[in-house]
This record gives sequence, C-alpha cells and structure tokens, in this order.
Amino acid sequence: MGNVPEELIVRHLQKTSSDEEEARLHEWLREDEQHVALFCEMREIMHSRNNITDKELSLGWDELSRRISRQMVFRKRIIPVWLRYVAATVAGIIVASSVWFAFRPHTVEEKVWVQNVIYNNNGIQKITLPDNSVVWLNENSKLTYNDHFSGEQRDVTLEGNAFFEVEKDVSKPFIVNTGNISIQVIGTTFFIRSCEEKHTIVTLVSGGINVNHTDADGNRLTLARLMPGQEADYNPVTAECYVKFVDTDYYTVWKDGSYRFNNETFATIARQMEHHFGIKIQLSPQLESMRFTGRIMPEHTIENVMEIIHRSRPIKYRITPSIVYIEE
Amino acid sequence: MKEDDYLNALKRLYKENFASLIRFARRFLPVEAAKDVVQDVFVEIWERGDMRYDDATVRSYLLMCVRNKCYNILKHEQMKEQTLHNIQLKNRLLELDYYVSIEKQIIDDEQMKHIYRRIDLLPDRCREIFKLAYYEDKKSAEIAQLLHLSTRTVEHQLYLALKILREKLTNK
Repeated sequence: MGNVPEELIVRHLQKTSSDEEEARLHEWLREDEQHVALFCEMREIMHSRNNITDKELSLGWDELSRRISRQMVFRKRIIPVWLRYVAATVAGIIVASSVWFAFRPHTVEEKVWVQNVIYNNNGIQKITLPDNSVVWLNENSKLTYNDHFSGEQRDVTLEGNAFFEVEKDVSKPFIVNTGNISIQVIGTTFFIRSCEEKHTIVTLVSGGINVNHTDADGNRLTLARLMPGQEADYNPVTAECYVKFVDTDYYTVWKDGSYRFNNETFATIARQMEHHFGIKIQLSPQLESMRFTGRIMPEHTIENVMEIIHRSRPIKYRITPSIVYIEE
Repeated sequence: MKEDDYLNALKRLYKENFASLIRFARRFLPVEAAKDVVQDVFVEIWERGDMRYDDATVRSYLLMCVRNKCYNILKHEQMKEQTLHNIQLKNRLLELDYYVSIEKQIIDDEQMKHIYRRIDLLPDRCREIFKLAYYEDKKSAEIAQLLHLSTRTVEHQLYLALKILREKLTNK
C-alpha cells in the first residue's frame, strides 16, 4: 500500500483536520478499497474506547421494553377454529391479532387470514384500517376486521360506539356489521352506537349509507337509506327503524376526544351532554340562555362536569340515574 | 412462538448485540441519535414479528439495519448542509459503504475484552502517547506540549500504535 497520509488519518481521528485536509483524505480513500479498509479499521480501534457499560445496557433494555409494551401486538396461530383471539391490557388499550386457517372442504386450497380484533377499554382510540379508512373507537368498544380486506367487500364488525371516516371505493363496499344489522357504505362519515339487546343508532355526517337487516335465512332487507344529518334508530326487539334529522356537530367533535364549547348557550351544551353521557337533562328555561366556555374531557363524569359548572355559576342540580335536573 | 418466548428471544438478541451495534452507530452519529437508531431496529424487528434466531446471519442482519439507518440519516444531513462539513459527511458515507457485512468489523465483543491488554503491550513510547490520546482524548498538540515532542512525532507515534494494533487484530 503506497504512501499512507498518516497525519491526515490521525488528524481525522482526533477531529482536528481542516476541510482541505479532509478533502485530501477523501481523495486518498477513493483511490483504493484497501485505503478505506485501513482507515475504517483504525477508526474502529480508536473508537473502541467508547464501549458501553452494563448499566447502559440494562437501561437500554428497559427503554426498549417500554417502547414495545406501548405497541404490543399479539400474534397467535390457531388451527382450525372459527375465531379466537388473545388479548392483553396494555395502557388501557387492547390490541389483538390472530391468525387462523379456514379449510374449505371441497378444495385442498388453504387460506390464511389475519383477523384483527381491537378492543378499546379506555378513552377514544383512532384506528387506521388497511384501506386508509379511519375509525375512532369509543371506550369499551370492539372492532374486528380482516387484515387485508381481501374479499369482495370491506367487512368490519363493531360492538359498541365508533365514528367512521370511510375511504371511497365504489368497487368494494364498506360494510359495518353490528348485531343483526349491517350498514353499507360507499365513502362517508358516520357514527354508530350499538349495544347488545339495545337500540343501534347510526348517525350520518356526510355521504350516503344503507342500513340493512339480515334475517335468519340470510335475506337482506334495506331498512333505511340515510341522508347527511339523519339518524337511524333501530330497535332489535321490535325490528323497527326510525329515521330523524339530528345535529351532527357533536359527533365530529366527539372523535377528537374532548368536547369544547366556546361561549355557547347552556341549552346547546346540555344537548351535547345528553349525547355525551347518554342521559336526559332537564334544564330550567331561565338558564337556557346562560353562556359557557370550556370543555368536557373523555375522563369526565357527569358529576365532574356539573361540579365545574356549579363552581362558576350559582346553579342547583340533582343527578338521578336517568335524568339530571338543573335549576336556578 | 409464544409471546413470552418471543420476548425472551428478543431480549437475548438485544443483550448479545446491543453493545457492538451501539459501538458501530456511535462512530457515525451523536450518542443520543446512535441509541435511537439501535432501539428503532429492535422495535421494528419486534413489530414485524419475523425474528429468526440464527446466530450466523442475525448479527450481520442487525448491523446492516443499523448501518442503513445511519446511512439515511447522514444522507439527509448532507442534503440539508450543502457545503458546510460536506466533506466530512462524504468520508463518513464512504466508510459506511465499506461495511457490507459484519465480517468487516475487526473488534467484536470478544476482542473488546482484550483491547486494553493489547494497548499495554505496545512499545514504551508508542504506548505512552497512545494512552493519552485514547483514554484521555488528548489532541496531538497537547500531547506534544506535555512530552516536549514535536506534533509531527506524536502523530507518527499514534499512527504506529494504530498500525500495530490493527495488525494484531487482523493478523496481517
């Protein structure tokens, strides 16, 4: 190996070289792969001083395991069961994913699907689906969907409440299954509240959706076709579906996790609180035009909110399980 | 693989490779950035869930992940700073190009244990000068002043020390 520019290498390692010296070193390095090897090896020796300590090693692992537990994804392979999932509570959010094999008796073909089950038990969780549709899943709600939406339609199953912002794809309808009704979507924003044995309420913010009912024989019946601003209230016991116009503003702010109000009347705020807490508020007429500014956070209970309002204005209130009475 | 087994496998992978990966990354990036890069590599492996525990290839694979991340960061730096320090960055990138596999590294964890003893075995004068630079991070000019030598002599002795150590480590 010809002339080695010793001083250039040493100065580089000690970080005392000028730009001009760095340029000369660069030229020399480019001459030959052997030059690069020599240089790299010498730098490695010089830097071996910066070895890490055992303490750094264990601190690093602590940090890594913290980062991992924040996004714990469970993978489990189950053969050949219909659907099972494993779940673990991590920071209040449960994310589960399971793989199962679906055997088709008449073919030898074996298909692998990944079924994602997201159970959210704390706050509102924002989920982006494989087709870029976004779902804001409420507390104590469960969303199930196929990993790639590989079928003819994009099927998701909801138990609980969620706000949907669906990516438009005319060739692949987006279907939300909840209880025995399904909501067929093309590209739209809407909110669903569903509970077993209770009413399912679908509120459409924009776009268009069909609310369908599938009976035991698999026949599908369209119960309602919603227009923006309409809400369908489906009663599974009587199998009746009522449609009415509603104020959709609440749902668009709900997904952001907190409801803010800026110098709004008590009447408006009370209506939003009825939605938010799922209760009735009986507000005395004298208070209706009173104005407030503030916000309701996801962790707030009706008791918290009433106490805050009470602190700022001399009102009287009484909370019963179904109705809140507010008077002057 | 069960979740717990998977976590244990990751921990083992981490314990066996973290030191050498961080040593590598620190040659190219500031301490904090180097740590982040190495952590990111492990998090990504965890997320993808495709960890194959095969000692022969996994070490090299990890190093390549770290190397690629360092490369991207430096490349990004280079685009930000058009002229300033550009030549230093070029030399760093040239260096990263060299590391195409783990075999290019001459100091593994095993060698690391013997490096201090190897330094102690250097010829007297060479050792004295090298130790000041290596352990105390003194520059050539400072060492020259301390030992009443010319800077050029110090530089030559430092180069000599590196040359001897390199020969021992690579058996050249």
